[in-house]
Amino acid sequence: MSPLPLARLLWICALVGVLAGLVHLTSLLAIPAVAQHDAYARVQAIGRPFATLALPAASPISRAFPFADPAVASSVCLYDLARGPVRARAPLGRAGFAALSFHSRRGIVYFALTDRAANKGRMEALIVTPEQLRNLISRDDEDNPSEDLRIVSPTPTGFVMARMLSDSPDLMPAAEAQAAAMTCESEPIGDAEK
Amino acid sequence: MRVYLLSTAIALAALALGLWTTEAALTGAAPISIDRLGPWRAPARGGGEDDPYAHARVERSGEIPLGLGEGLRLTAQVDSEGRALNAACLYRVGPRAPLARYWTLEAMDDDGFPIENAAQRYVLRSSEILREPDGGFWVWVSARAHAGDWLPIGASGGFALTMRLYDPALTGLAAGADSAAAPRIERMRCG
Repeated sequence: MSPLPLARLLWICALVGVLAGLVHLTSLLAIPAVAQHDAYARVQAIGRPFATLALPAASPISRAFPFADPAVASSVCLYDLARGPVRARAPLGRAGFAALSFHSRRGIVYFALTDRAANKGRMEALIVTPEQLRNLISRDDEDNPSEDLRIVSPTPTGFVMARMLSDSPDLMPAAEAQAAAMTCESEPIGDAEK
Repeated sequence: MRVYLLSTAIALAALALGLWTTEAALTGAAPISIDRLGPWRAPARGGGEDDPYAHARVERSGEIPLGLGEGLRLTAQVDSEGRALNAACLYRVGPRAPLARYWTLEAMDDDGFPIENAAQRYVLRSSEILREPDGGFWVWVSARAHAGDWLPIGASGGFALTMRLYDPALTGLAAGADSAAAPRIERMRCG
């Protein structure tokens, strides 16, 4: 084989670069579609819709969810907005820090609220689809506004996660009890009327 | 014949390069959409609905990420001088942490899980550590027991340090966060 002329070599390099870029983008964008072990799939494998599932505290033995904090008690609740908005509630107790986070079907957090946003001793939010939000707004009574914190889920299914930080190791059982007390319940729009 | 060989070579090279850059971006070898704070990195931000890198990283690891405003996870695989963390060494971490209501410090393995140790101590909380009069702290990280606030690691193998900030004052590291506010990871001695 005769040596390639410089111009041709540069052209080949450019071609490789452009094709590699295409491969990079394709593989990157394909990962969410082909990932079998994303957070939603892992939660779905062990939980049922609208049933609160306490997750075991992170330890070398329970290896369900990576990068979880061993100082934090957590629970998850799968939801489905097909039958109506879903109300998520969690009590506040002795945990030094408490939060609810809302995860889409694609495993991304789309909203989170902490105990700073608590009202009447609990954290609460109403998860809705864009259509349900429009429906609720059209029913709103201007003189008696709803106190609900309404958050729009980007996907019709997803899960809520409660995180309760224990101040010290001996407060971990209290944090676990508090995490297990989180609920998520379907609340069809007709029923929500006063 | 030569044309076929050349096309095959180009296709293979492009495939390899493309997949490698994806892998590198997701594992942190190429720091795409990763914020740095001293030796600490903040990968896999939740709330990145529009960031394909953050998205793919979260999907692939199976992590349930912390939400924006909920908390921030910082991970260090190197000490403050850029040397890889080594289980044979003694480290101290401190004396300050970024402003947050709480923080926790954990030693974890390469897969993101706590490291087995006889003391069954996997994490230290900001609410349970000793403080110096000026509010500073030092956490000691080593395989062998150490006086003061000791975070055990395995006797061999790699490890990473993870600091989680709950209700942090900084919600985005990019917004001029001061790297002096991040704890230093000082290697004291090895062997």
